[in-house]
Amino acid sequence: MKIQTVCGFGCGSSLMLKMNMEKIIKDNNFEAELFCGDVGTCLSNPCDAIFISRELAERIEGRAQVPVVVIDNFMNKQEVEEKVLNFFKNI
Amino acid sequence: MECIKLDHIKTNVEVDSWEDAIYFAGELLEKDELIDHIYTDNIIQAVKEFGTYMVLLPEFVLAHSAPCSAVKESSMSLITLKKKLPFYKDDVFVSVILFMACKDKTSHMENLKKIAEKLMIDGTIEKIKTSQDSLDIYKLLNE
Repeated sequence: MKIQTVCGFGCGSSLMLKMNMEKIIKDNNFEAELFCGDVGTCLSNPCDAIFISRELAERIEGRAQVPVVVIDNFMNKQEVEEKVLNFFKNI
Repeated sequence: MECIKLDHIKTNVEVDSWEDAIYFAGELLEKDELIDHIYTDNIIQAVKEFGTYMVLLPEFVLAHSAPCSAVKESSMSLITLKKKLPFYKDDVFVSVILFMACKDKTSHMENLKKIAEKLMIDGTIEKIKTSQDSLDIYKLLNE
């Protein structure tokens, strides 16, 4: 399972989201490899899912070949945890 | 290890708009010749282009743009606002701005990770928000 966290540039916010998610994934004993991407190139990076902000998600809407999970606040532990758990429950 | 310099932290900053808040934070790095003004312009532009996703938590924004030559040295500054301000949208507010300048995709990673670890501890953002003294924030983020 490869998950891409996506922000505008792939070096700031997406890293924060990645760190937040890695902790949740580890705490719940899920298996996944995470990496950061930017919205311009994220669709060409092979992965099994994309976690992205609401506004940026609109830019890739309908074009992503993998599940897209929308996060409002990248560092909001509760929101991210809820969405990560839900994602792993449904795969 | 110092992630963010004391001189680059200011509390209770009084500005009238989110743009001015970002410029204020950028100037802290500009005056030490760590970045050029254009990098800050790029951040403003990025918000207008990509929206408010850099608001990673309510009232906390990680202001950054793409790595570029306007960044001489990867560095960070942090300001807290005396009064929270709408950030680009009327219903999104910020009161803490972490300004991040990266000259490439990797050199800032270690520092950002360290700060992120601190920020992910419950209550850290609240402490920063209510802190009156930049030294308190300095200790909180660097120790």
